[in-house]
Amino acid sequence: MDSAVEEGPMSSSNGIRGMEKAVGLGPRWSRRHWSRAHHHAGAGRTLALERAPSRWSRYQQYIGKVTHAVFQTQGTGRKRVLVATDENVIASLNLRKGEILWRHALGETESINALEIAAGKYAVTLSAGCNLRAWNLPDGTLIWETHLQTAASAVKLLILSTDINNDRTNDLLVVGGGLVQAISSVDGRLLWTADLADVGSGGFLPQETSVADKEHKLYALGFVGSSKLGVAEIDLSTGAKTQYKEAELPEGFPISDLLAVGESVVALDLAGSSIVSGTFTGKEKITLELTPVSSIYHDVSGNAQLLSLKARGVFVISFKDEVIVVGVDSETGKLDLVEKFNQPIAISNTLALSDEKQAIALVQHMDSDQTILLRVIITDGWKDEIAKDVIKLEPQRGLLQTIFLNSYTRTDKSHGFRALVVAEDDSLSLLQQGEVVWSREDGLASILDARMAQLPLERAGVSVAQVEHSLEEWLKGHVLRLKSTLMLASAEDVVALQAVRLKNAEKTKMTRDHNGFRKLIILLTKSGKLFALHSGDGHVVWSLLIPALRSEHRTPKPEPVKLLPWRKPHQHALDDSPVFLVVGRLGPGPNAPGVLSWVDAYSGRELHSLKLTYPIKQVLPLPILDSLEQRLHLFVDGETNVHLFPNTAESLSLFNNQSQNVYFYDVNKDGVIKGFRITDHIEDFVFSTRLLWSVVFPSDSEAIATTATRNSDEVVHTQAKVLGDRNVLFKYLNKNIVFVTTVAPGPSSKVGLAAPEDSWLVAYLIDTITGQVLHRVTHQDVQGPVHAVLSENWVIYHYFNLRAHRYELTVMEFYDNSRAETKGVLQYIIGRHNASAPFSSYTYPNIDVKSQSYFFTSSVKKMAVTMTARGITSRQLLIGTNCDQVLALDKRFLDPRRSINPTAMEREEGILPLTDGLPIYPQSYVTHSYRLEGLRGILSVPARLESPSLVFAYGLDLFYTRLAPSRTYDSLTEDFSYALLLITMIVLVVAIGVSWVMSKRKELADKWK
Amino acid sequence: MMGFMMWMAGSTVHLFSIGITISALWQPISALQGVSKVFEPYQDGRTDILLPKLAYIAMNVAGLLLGLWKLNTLGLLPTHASDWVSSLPPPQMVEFSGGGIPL
Repeated sequence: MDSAVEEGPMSSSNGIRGMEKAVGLGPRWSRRHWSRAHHHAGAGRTLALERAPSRWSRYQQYIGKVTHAVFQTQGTGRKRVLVATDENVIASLNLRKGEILWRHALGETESINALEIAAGKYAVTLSAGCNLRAWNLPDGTLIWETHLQTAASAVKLLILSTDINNDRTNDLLVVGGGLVQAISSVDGRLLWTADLADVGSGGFLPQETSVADKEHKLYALGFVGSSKLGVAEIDLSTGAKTQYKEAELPEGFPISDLLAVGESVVALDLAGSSIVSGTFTGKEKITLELTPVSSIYHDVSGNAQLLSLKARGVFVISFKDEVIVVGVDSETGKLDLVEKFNQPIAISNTLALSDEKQAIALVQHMDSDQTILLRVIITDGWKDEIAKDVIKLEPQRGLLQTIFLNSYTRTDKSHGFRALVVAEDDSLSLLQQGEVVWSREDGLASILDARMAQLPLERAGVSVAQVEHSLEEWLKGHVLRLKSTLMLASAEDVVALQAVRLKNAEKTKMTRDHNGFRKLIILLTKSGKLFALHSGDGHVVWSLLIPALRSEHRTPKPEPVKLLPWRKPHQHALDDSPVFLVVGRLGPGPNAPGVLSWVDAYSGRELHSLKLTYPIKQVLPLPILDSLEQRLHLFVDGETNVHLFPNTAESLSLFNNQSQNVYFYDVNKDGVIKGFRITDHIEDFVFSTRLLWSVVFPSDSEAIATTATRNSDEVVHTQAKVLGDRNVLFKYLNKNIVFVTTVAPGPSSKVGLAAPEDSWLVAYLIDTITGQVLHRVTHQDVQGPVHAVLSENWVIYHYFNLRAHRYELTVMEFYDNSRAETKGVLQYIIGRHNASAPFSSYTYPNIDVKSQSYFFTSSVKKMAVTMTARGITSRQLLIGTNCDQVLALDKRFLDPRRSINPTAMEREEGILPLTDGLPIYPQSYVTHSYRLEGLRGILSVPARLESPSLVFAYGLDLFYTRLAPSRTYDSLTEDFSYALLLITMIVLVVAIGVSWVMSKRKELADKWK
Repeated sequence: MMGFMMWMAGSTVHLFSIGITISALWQPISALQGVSKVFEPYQDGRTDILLPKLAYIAMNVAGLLLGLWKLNTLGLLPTHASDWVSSLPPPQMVEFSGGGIPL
């Protein structure tokens, strides 16, 4: 049954023919960068592709929330800032404009621990706790890479100000996992390793370091077990452990955090109520002193946190509303209050202005979130304010999170300051001289969910005037187009035509177009911000930091989870706007209570929000609309009760009519699928449920690898498939099915660990109403990861074949034999057949499964399928490859009815001869040369026309394009020259008129003869 | 003659075969419409024209059938179930189910 790969080598003639066809079919559009950065470069490229005219592909690059930043402003060359982000990206940004100079995405497992500039020319990153890499500053090429042994989560990278190996460059230290390692910054060589795990009585774990440059010594500080504090002294040039000291912590002091302040050590207990401090240099023994926080600063409010400043002799304790700067006496280790700041939001790193002077920046929000007060303070004495700016940020930025300070020298030799700030919405802005110089929406690198919405209808009162074409421009554009068609265009004309095309206001209008090409792309990001992008040029129409998803005073940050279309007004609704529902959680973990927020898609305002008392486990958008076109939703809570929304009497009565037919299922990753049905009405809008069935997979041998369901928005045109011999197959179009694959031996095993004969994959098709397994098939010698897509009556899944050492794609098509029982034509003519009867899962299923497998050369990250308005157009499979590109593969390549020698009838039907592999043509990459780093999702929505399908793919980068899987059979191309048509018609009419007159004259002349 | 033309036209749908088939259908139909006109000159009351008339009609009906047969071989007659269900919409679902992996 599970036919593996069929024999039959791909004959060369077939391959070439196929190639020609694909070249003919393949989309060939040029594209341009969205970002201003590439405008100029882009113009040249589009010029080169003048005859490849589509201009509807859009590409944007982002980097993610910045966690580390170092400025590179000294010396000649461009001023730049190097940033590392929580999306594991390292990038170099132009400090003047904020555009990306170069960028590297290190991959999902490589979280970046540290970023520094070493030797004045390399950016050094420490990622995944053990990978140290140096990148060339100007172009980002990898200079050297060192794999360290540490592999701990808390790892520190130190740039020394001394040279260990006498190569006249200062070297690096990596501290973590009980090891201290010195690395040459020139070539990444390991100079020495000091293992601190065996010092003293063992159990010493260094957390903090302090470097004494003059003595050429390094002090590593850490806790020993839970009762002692240890300090190890290491000689910097050799790595020898010269001294080790321990001190008993006070009785019952729960350890939490530790700081080295100069030559003193400071530790705060878990409750944040007392501090232990002492000096560790010089003396034989460390004497620790316990100081209650309340004795330093009396008004203790909220839990305290230690912050390092790397400033001399001071550290910072931050409370809920205040931040205090505490000085440490270098002789005695005594603590005293230096300064207190009310409600600062972020404190920057310390910036050395000269050998003596250090500065620090503090940000406070003024009365509103949008205005901030930026103060730069000299750390000596903490009184000297050298810069104070009130800056108005862009709207919807939220509170600032992090600030990185940098200085420059003005012409009058005074210091000027610039600050890079990361806001609550993960955006990055550069502030200088009281202004926002540039701002990047880098929250768009972490998209959780994406949807598309219609734009408003065009009518009076809708402001479109500012982007509307004038008649003159329109004429000019057409004249230029005509010239280029007639090959009369000069070089300047071609450039002008390109400019007209790029600026085409038709594309960026804020109203709906007749073909439904212009859309709003609604995006939910990890920071809880909602963006609406215009599909025409990708500009942000509005953005909203969802108020319900913002954290209030150190409560855990609510997490956005899902974006759902709450209301989709019908095509001709004038005043109604689409509404989206954002589902979130009030804290981390799946059991945190849910929060709902309704957002208007046109105004970008939150309509209302609701904090729930129960966690949301599942969301079921029901196929029922109320009179306001709001979709009824069920939320399943932790006790598998369901809650109905919207909370109106109307929705309740609508739901009560249908509730006996509403079911839901729950896929547990442990290997159990449970089905429930709605039973009783408990209270207002709450219903109880009953367990109906469960499918238990053998958990010791199989683990669920993937599940796939049909997209609820999918439109299928017909249930019948007419074959070449005029027979009919009826598609099995049950919407309530789930495709589940399990793999053995579990998903944790890596490639190469399990023997081929011990690995297999089982694919199940399960009815989610009755729990019946409709079809089951086993693939031997096969391994995950598995990716699957279920659409119409077919499923396609991707896995790795261990025996053939290749990836495979399998297609299964399901046909309903019970519907094919009526054979007579007469029955169809008079309408007495069972094919139009409603479908119930409680009828006996009689399914015919056709299946075929093919080799596929690419691994897969994500799979999706194109959607069109009426489901007539053939479909394309959208495959997000491991190289972060999107490949469009015609479904006709994955047709289980393919055979080696198709009959004439089958050929007429469009069935291709069977080959063992699937062809990948370079033209079928819809992303062309672009890479969508960290590809996370592919969204396809229909336009209003039937032939095109709009595709939006996102990861770190965003990409939008328009596909036509069966070519644009229902519209003229965008480039169609109406002017040429008009002129041809005028010429014809004139010619007819002239020839008519001439023939009249001739006739008259003939008569006179 | 018509049969030969039909044979020459083949069984695939294109302009020529369609033209031949339409003329093969149209000829007998127009001939049948004009039956009385054809036999008008012989209607003098003395000769019995019923039998020739019937023979004429039968021959034209045969021609018509030939045309229909040709139409069928071209696949243009809705004689298969597929001709009646090709745009049959998908069935309505009685039940609704949703869910999946918990959020």
